[in-house]
Amino acid sequence: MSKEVVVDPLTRIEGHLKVRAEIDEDGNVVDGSPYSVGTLFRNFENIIKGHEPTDAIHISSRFCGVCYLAHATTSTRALEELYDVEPPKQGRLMRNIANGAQAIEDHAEIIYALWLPDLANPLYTDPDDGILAPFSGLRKELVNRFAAINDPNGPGESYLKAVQTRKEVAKVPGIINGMSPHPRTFQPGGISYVPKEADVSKFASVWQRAVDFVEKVALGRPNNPIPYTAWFDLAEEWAGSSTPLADILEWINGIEDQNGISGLGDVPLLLKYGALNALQGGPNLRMHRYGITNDLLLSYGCWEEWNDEPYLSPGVVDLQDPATITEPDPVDTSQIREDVKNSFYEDGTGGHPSSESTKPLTDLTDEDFETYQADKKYTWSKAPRYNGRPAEVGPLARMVIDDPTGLVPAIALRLHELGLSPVNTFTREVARFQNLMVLVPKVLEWVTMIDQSGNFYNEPDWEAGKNSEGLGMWEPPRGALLHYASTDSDGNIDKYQAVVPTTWNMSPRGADGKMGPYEQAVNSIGPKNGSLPETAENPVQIFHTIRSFDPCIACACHTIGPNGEKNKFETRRC
Amino acid sequence: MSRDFSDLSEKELKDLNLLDINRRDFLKASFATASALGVSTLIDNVEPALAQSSTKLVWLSGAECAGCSISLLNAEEPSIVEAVTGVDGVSVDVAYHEVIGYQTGVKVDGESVDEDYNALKQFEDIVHGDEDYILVVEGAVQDKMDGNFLRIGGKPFIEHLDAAADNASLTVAVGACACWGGIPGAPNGHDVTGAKGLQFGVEENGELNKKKLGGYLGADYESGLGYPVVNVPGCPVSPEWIMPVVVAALLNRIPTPDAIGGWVDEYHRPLDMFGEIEHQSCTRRGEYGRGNFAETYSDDGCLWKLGCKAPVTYANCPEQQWHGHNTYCMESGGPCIGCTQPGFPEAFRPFNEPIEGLPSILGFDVGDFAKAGAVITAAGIGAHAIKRIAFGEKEEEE
Repeated sequence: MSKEVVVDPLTRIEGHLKVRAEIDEDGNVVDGSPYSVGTLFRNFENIIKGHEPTDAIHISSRFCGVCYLAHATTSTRALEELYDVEPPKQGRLMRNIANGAQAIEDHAEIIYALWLPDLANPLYTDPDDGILAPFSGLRKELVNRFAAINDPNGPGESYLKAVQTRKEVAKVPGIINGMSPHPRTFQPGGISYVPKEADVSKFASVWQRAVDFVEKVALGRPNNPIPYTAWFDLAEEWAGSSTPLADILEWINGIEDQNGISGLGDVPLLLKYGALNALQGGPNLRMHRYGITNDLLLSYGCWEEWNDEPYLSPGVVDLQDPATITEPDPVDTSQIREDVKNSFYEDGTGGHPSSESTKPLTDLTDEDFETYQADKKYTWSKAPRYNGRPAEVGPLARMVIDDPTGLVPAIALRLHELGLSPVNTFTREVARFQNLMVLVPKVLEWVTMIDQSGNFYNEPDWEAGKNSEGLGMWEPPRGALLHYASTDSDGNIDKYQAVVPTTWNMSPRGADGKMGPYEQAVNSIGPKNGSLPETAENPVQIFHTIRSFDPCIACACHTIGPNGEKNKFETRRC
Repeated sequence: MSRDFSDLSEKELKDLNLLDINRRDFLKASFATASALGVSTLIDNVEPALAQSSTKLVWLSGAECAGCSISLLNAEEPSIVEAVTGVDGVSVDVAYHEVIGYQTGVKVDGESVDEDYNALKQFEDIVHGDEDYILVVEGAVQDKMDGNFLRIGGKPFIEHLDAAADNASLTVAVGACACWGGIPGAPNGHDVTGAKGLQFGVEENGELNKKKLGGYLGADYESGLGYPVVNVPGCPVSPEWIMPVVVAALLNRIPTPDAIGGWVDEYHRPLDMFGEIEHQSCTRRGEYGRGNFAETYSDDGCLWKLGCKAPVTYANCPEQQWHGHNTYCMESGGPCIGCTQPGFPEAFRPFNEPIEGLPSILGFDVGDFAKAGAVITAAGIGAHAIKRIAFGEKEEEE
């Protein structure tokens, strides 16, 4: 006899999300039972319509108070196509520094304030009944480090340090953008902010505070810091090994043998006891055995450059074809479609971002929102498809496609060799940390390139913004983001569309009836795949899994009114 | 050679009453700034109302972007950690917060799980319990379609809001959305979803209803201690606006309900933070005085011509600043978009349009811009004069 569990509100995410699944007597999620449901609709893109294009930067920023900078950046890039203007190098540089620092802040926030507190869940850590009750050293570390701000056993030490550090790092986008969230200084053609020497000094000192956190909390301990540069050396070494997982475990064991479990930094602690300890038959939470998706990984690539190559390259990985892990396919935006079969919009209104026309259902007064059928409408999220298939986006996709150290692809390939899915709750968190790390040296490099005497802004020819259109793409922390804008003969927005990361990940079943990434990932939970049995009353593996995607629901549930004669981007490639 | 206009500008503007907005008397305002946190002295004529230790905070998320929650994490005095761990025994218990709280809503076979980690149980226990709590609401209230544009825990959000507002000792709206609808309450949003603020809202014609009939809780709503909704606007709210209000509540420094009029303005914004026109204390104010105006983005000078709305916006951004007193919009070259004003965003669009070119500002709401009636003068009678000062005379001199 299975039980139905409904997690609602699914907290410690951005926005309003419900996840539903059935769990059988053995603790397996019943195949086909998960449903991912966005429960908020605001009609945001229509609010942009009919107005001055540059307003869109500031309205679209408010899609989301967590991804604000990503939306403002992507909107600005779309408008730069619309006005046919190129920002100067210093303008791009400042946008990179703001986005890079914000991404570091954001990844830290996601890992520590939103994801890690679940490790202090009483299901694991209750001293009498918890799964980890026999391992009191580990149990205490998890509670003492990671408990959330209002946890009866919290807040944890690492939690407090992370919250303090993220606030410090938030000063960088704050100073560049006037305020954060919601930047005021981005403009098509560059930025209206010009740094002062005092600002450069602030960026540098904030960078050092972030590095201190990485070295003394995330990687090492205050009395035994691990230099961030050492991590890069190790990552490259592991990436070149035929047994990267065993090598990582050996490194962690070495530290633990010397300094005890309390001498492990948060990341080594998580790597070992989240999964890698399975290699030596030790206690671990088997996070590599669930949270599995099996269609595509998609990344648009990222970071504004003044030469042709982005720092992180775009690509598509087909998880049914592991060769694409080594050589990802190029991204073709004409392959993107949104479907509304299971979404609260009028049927037949999906399509490519430049041509779809979406109308919300506004008569749902008698709708039963608490039953779930695969052929009915059940969410405010649309179902994006790439070449007709669901795609997972985010740090894991981005890092599998391009990790400058090679570590994440190496881990993915090794898991595949071992007969396991490379895409799971464990690798999602490893990739998130790695994504934070690869930004650390890059942000400092960008700061050292600041030149106040340079040009920060090229004013567009505003007339060029009439009867025009633009497409902007970016890779914010949560994954692939696309904005599309077009204008009428007066130069006002007549169509605005965003296809955002969380819409990809929280996608409902589409026309093909195939579950979206959240649904697939929850579907994989249970001893059937080698994970711990799930407990309906405290479904902590569902919590870990959904939060490992870093949901951002406010971004994901929105719509745009009908239009769409212009479609030159149908064939655009990036 | 350019002439120094500082004297002339000052004089003419004074004639226009633009500067005749007296600085608020901070003592009379009886307001606890965050720096007074350690001083647990009650001011006169205020009855102790809330427990000073571990008063519960219930933070509800309506139609929002979570930007105000994230902004809260940037608080400096007190920091979010200090607010929770306490200063001299005074602290706040973040009992319910969907973005940072440890609880999650769990139902099994339709029944809410009877455990403390269940957010649904936690919420019900607090709002139907005997203890005082401060209710903070982020996000607009969308009440069309029986409230089904936002459902939480199997119910429309508005049912949670009804229950929480009924029993709250003090109800605070943070951010433009909860105060008066914000962006979700703009045309195309409000018309579809009904998005509005707690006590202020939007008329069907899209204009702010200054008689405050448009808010979801209604004009007559009073929290348990007898207060109307205290509005702490902004998009997002500054943490240095929300924290002092919470601290003031904990220290019982908010005047009694019959005297609240000296503490908040007609839009229920605390005068301490929203009592002055931003333009007055802007760090680019000197450039304005000299007639030095930025002509394009990244230029030096006053941002007026680039659409800065500071001359018609009440907020203390230039004095308080953001991110540890490091910056604010105009300091970083970003023109103000009026995000603390009722009527944001519609009344301020296009954001890059100088204020004298905005018919919606001029025809918007005479009472709005002026406790003092001053800026409306500037925007109405003064539009010509300001235009002359700002644009005409400088060019003539050149």
